[in-house]
Amino acid sequence: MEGHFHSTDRAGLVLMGQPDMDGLTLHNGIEIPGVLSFLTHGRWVKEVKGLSDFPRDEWPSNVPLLYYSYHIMAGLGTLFTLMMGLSALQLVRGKLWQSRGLLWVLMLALPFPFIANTAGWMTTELGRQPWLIYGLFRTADGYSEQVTPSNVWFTLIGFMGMYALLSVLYFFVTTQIIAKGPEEV
Amino acid sequence: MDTLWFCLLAAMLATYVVFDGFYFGVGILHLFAARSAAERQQVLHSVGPVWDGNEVWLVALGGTMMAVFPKLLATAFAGFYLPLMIVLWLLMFRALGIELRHQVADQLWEQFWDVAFAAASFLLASSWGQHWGTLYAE
Amino acid sequence: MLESLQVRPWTVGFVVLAAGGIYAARRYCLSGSAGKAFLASCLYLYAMMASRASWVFPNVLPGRESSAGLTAAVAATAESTLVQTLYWWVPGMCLALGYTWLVYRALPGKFLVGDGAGH
Repeated sequence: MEGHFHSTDRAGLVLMGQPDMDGLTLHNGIEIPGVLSFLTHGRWVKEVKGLSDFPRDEWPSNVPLLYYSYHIMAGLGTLFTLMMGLSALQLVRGKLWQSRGLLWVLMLALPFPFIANTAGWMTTELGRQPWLIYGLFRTADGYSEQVTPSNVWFTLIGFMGMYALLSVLYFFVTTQIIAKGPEEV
Repeated sequence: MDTLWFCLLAAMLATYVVFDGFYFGVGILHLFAARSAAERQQVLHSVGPVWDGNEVWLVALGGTMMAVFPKLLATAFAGFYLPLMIVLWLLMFRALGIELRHQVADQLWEQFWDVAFAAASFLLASSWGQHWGTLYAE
Repeated sequence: MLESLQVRPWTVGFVVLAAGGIYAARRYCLSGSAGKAFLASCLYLYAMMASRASWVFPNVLPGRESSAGLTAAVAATAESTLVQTLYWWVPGMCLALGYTWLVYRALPGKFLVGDGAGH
């Protein structure tokens, strides 16, 4: 998740980088030194254990995806904080409705919360693997034996179909509402 | 203590049936009982504000079962996986029917969602009956 | 079911209550008091579910052979968990029932055709 492969003290918080699973290293990493140790332990110098210190069969199965989804979520979160801070500042100054640039940014940032939300959930569920309950219960041991894979495929495709239908309906209804315009105050 | 919880769970299930039951009935009957658009509106308004809360009794039942009878939850929901998923989709359709109906002022749209609401209510009622019947048939 | 009836013959009372509920619902509906008809049908539903639950007990999930069913004792969590869940359940249920009562009281009377009430 943090792209932290080997244990170090004064572990840094990685801002950007590409994890390399073959070399177990982070390419082109930009990191703020010491922050990860501080966030984990409350002290700038304590050691943070790296991924290679855990047994191989306890690693999540897809580390790069986990890494990217976490960083997308955190990055978008920072973006939101900045955007909203700026907007709050402008609102207090009474200039929000006139700052067209900021308003455009706010409007165009519409899909980002959904993306951040999804990325966050992906982080949680990818990062928990292979454990269902950490240290006690693996996902491979926890499935229902009554439910066959074909059942799960059927319901998965069914849900995808339902959600596709729902998104089309949402789009349609929302454009109708937008086309009607705001109500007379 | 587990006897007490058995009775409490049965009471919660019965409460869900009471609260959602009249909503099923409204769904099934509103195509027959309400002829004009205004009457349909009236029928839907009779359940409008409260149906969300009524659904929650089902969720509460599931949550309480998880805390109290987890093996029952696991066995029943795993064994009934497909039927319960279909019930879930029908619940979604029913909710869609009542909420989307008045979003677009079009005859065909309203009629479609009316029929969807009625069909989903009918299928839901019969599905629940099938579930409990299958579970408790001798 | 027959074994349950032998052990607990008083559960036939639920069936009587359920039948009474149907009869009362029909009577009240014809005489025009819709509220009482609704309550009678609620009685019917509760009595029907109670009769079924009492006949199934102690199984919560009956199997084809009576020994293969899942009993309440096996399915339940530990005693302490049940007690603690009860401590949470009672206030929660009071909240839920109180809210339900409030909401149904707060809604106005019967809607008439032509009311443009917001939904």
